[in-house]
Amino acid sequence: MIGIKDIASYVPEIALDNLLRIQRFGETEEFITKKIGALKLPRMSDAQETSDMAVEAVIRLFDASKELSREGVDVLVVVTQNGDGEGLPHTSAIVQRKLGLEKNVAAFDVSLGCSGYVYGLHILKGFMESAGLKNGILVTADPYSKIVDPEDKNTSLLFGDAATATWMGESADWLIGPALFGTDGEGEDALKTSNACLTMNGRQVFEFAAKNVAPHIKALLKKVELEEGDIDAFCLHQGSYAIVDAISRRFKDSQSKFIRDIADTGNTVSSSIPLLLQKHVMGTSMKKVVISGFGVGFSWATALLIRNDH
Amino acid sequence: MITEQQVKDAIISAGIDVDVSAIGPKDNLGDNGVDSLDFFNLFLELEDIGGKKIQDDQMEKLNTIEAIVQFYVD
Repeated sequence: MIGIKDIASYVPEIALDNLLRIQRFGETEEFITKKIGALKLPRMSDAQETSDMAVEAVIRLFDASKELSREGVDVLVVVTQNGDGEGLPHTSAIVQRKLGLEKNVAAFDVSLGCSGYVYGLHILKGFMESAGLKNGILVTADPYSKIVDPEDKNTSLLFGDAATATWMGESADWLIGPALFGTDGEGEDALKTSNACLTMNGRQVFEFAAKNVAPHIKALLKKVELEEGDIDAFCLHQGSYAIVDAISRRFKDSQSKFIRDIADTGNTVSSSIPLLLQKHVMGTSMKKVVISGFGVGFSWATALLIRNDH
Repeated sequence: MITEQQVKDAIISAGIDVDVSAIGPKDNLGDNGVDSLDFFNLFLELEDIGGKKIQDDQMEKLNTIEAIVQFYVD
């Protein structure tokens, strides 16, 4: 069975300091630290493309996992909606070239935002198991710095750039369990790009997440016949501390298990969940973790990760 | 219809970190520590209690407990 073997990440060193920017937007320090949660918003450099962030994350993965070689990679998936250039060719093809991967590798992009990692795990697991592939890399690299208007209060204090790379293969430490998915295209106008600029109706996005995610997690727990007390950690997409808190309040007995950690990264879109897993789950003794991604689309997905006692 | 107390209870249920006992019916909620994200949470609670959706263009006016109570009378 294909599962998660390792996760690596790349967070650019250059970052905006949100506490130095609050006066411009009439916000308080408390709003940034307690409600947004992001103190630093990493920014890829002008010399970097999305593929370069992806490459950095994958190189770190190769460095951390010596058993994974360039020649051994069968499939590369890049989750992004802000890829290289103007959309063609797909960013994963460019990453294949930049990394010097073999030409028999399957490479494709997945156009999803904050739900993208959860979808991506299942897409890659199914792809690999059906095709009999051994080693896959799931990359998330969605730099919203390309589309955020620095003067837009709604979005300018939220999003950070980052990339992650997840090695998926057999004899994995973490198995990818059952999942539930969701889509509501009524959310089209809540988060969209117009003339290459992101617009966000903060209230609509907040309301969508606050109303849908907690019931979705409860539905998944029911599907897998577990209680919230059986789960060691809930790794939600880190839209903001406010939204994670609004969701976790629906789980009064487990609120402390909802991980919040975006002080140094901001909302990194599809990278937020793998960043949490890398830092707070991998290498721990946790056994069951729920992940839930939600956002642009609207699109959402919730899944169970189970430690493999192999 | 909802009462002043129900609005105060909603502020607490929404996880808003303010002293509701110190907020009078005509006091501006924004001036008493309720920020934009708090309002999102509050409106969700109010919609559950009052059964009426608050439209985006109505939000700005609902900045006192009195205005919220009146909204759910109309």
